[in-house]
Amino acid sequence: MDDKQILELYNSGEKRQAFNLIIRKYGERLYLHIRQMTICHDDANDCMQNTFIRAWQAMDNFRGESNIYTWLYRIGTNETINFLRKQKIKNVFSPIDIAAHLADDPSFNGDKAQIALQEALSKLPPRQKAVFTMRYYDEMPYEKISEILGTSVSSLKASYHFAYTKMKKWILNYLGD
Amino acid sequence: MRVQKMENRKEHMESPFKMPDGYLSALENAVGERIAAEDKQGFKAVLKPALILACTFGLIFGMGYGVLSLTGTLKEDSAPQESIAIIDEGLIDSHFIDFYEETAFLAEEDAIDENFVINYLENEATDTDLPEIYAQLQ
Repeated sequence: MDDKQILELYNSGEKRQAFNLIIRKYGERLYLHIRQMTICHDDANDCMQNTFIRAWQAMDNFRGESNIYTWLYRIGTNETINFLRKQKIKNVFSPIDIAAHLADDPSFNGDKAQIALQEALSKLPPRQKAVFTMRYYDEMPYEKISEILGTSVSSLKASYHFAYTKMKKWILNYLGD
Repeated sequence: MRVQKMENRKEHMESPFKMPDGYLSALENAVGERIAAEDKQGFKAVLKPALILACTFGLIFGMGYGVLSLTGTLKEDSAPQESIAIIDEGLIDSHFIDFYEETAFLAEEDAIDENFVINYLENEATDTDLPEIYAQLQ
C-alpha cells in the first residue's frame, strides 16, 4: 500500500488501521536511524514510541506535501536530539560503558572497529551526532538534512566536518591504546 | 588493497544494528496503548480544570458563608424590617398617587375659565384696575 492509499484509509475514518500500516511500513528504517543515534535499544524504543505518538497527534494536520517517511524521519530525528540532550545531563552522573553495553547486545552486529566508531559517535553533541548519522550512515544529501533540521547547508557541512575530525581523533587514540 | 579498503569502508558505513524480532508488533501495541491512554487523559484534561474551578468557587462561597454565619453578620437586623413594613403599608404607592394628583391639580389651575375672567372684568374690576390690566396686556 502506498502513502496515498494509507492517507485515504486514514481520512476514511480507519485511523488506527492506517496508522498501524505506517508503523509496519516505516518502523524498521526509522528504528535503525534512531538506534544509530541512541546506540542503546531501550533508548531507541522510547524515542520510537514518542515519535509515533507525536506523529499520531499531528496526523490530522499532515497534508501529504512531503512523503510520510520524510515527515516521520523529521519528527524522529528531532525527538531523538531532544532525548539525547536530556540524557546527556543524566550521563554526567551515571556514564554508560558503550563497549560493554554493545558486547552484550544481540541486536548489535559489529567488530572492534564498529564498537570504536559507536563509542566515538556517543561522544558527539546530539546535533552533530544527528548530522553525522544522516550523512554517514543514511548517505543523505546536505540539502535534505537542511530541510529536516532547519539548518543551513554551510552550517551542516561545518558540523559534519567537526564531527568527523573529533571522531577520527578519538578512534586513533582508542586504537592506539 | 585499495579495493579492500573501499569495501571495508562501505561495510562500516552500514548500520551495525538490527531490529529485534517482533519489535514492530510490540511497538504497535505500546503505541496503541499510549494513544488510548492519551485519549482518556484528553477527556480528563478538559474536565479536570472545569471541576477544579467549580470546586474552588464552591469552597470560597462556603468559606465566606461560614465566616458571615460565625460573626453573626447574616442575622436579620431591624432596619430592613422597617423598610419592608413601609413598603407593605403601601406608603410608596400612596406617595406616588399623591404626587400624581397634585400634578393634575396644578395642571387644572393653569387653565383659566373664560367666563370667570369676563365676570371679574364686568363686576369686580374697578375703573382704576382696567388701565393697569390693559397696560400689562400691551
